[in-house]
Amino acid sequence: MTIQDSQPLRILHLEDSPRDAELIRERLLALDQLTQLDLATNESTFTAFLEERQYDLILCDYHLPSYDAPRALRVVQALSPNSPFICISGAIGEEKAVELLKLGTTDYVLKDKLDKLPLAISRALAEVKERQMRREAEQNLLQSLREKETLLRELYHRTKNTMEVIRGLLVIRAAEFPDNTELQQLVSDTEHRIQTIGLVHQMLYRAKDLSLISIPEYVRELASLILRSFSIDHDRINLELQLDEQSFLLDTAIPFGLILNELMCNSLKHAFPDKRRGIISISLSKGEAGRSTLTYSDNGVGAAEDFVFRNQTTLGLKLIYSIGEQQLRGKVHMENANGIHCSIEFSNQLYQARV
Amino acid sequence: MAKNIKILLVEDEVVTAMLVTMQLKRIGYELVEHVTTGEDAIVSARKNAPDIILMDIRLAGDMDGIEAAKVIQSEKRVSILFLTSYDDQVTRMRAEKLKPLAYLIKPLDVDIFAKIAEASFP
Repeated sequence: MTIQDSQPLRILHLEDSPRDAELIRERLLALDQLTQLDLATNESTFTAFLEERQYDLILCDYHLPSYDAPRALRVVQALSPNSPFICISGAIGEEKAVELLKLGTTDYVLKDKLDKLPLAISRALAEVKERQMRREAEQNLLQSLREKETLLRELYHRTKNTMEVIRGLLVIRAAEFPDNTELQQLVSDTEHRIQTIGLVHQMLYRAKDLSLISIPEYVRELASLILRSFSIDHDRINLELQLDEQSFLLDTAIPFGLILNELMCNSLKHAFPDKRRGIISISLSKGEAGRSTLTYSDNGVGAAEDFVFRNQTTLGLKLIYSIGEQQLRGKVHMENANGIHCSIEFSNQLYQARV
Repeated sequence: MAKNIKILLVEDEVVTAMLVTMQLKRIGYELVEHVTTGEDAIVSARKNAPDIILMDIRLAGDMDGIEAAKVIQSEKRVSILFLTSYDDQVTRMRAEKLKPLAYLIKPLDVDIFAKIAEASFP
């Protein structure tokens, strides 16, 4: 016995034979550790002790008049589940011994081999200690995981709020030039871009998963945010969405959202003049090896017949091509086809998850 | 009637408050006051008897918007419209116990605000 502790070891011993009880008591007094021993000689005192006090260890005879170790073990498991239980008995046969261990007995010592008792005790106590340490470590880990989640959520939240403040500052300043339509347009375009990024952060702080964004959900929210900001009547533009379930990391979701924002803003600005009705279709399909295809089209007036989409100087088109091809390593294809049609096949796994 | 209602804005972020004030003004609504804390909201509600309180939830000071709204409601029935960026279930459930006119997520959509105000104060 090497366990040195300032606290005495609290032991409850169930034994009906005074002679055996005394023999075992002597063994326990010889331990290196101070012990505080309670002796129960029958079921009712045993239960009463367990209800009354906390024990570090239970020792139990196998056969008692109208009681036995398996029943005593059940009482211990109910009242003091963390206390190790050692059965000390005469020969009970292999079958019963195995049964006892199956029921959850920590160890088994024969009465004629009491010299093995100290080792059984120290092993049982070490086991308890280890279990306790493991439980504490698990709890600490869980706690720090929760803290990390809270911190991340707060960070996403603050980022979203900060972006809203930036948007607010822009809009308030622009309100000083109500007649400058070019400036108003510029600010409105910038607002949409800020909101597109802000929505990613908003979705991250309320999602269960703190790094992945469900793209169908994002597209639906972004599309309705853009429609609302253009004050489009509910039934004027019909949205047709066909979205495979897939999730992107923030690093992919933001550029993806920016492209979609440019396409939609372009349609809403130019494709449906004179409040005409129209359809915008967005589909996103999952390809092989971390690739996805975005297909976007409107049934509006389209661009001029000889319009070359690539190499234009407008920021909207520049963003679509450069984000699609340079940042998302994709291929952008835009054309006039009864309206504007755009398809982008891109990589959705450019980054490793970092959080 | 709706355009003449008294609106109290409780918002600790001044830029957001400026933006909301401007947006409301554009559609014809004026604020009776703007305050930045829950404590000031209670004082202002007593003084101004607003019809609608546009209430942020996370505020500086010891009181959040839901707690302030609770105190105000206990003194006088006022229509509360929460305007927050917190849309988690716990906050939402706490807020909805007070039976607010609406629980809106920032940024403020003035069209929705106008619809709610017109329906509540025809």
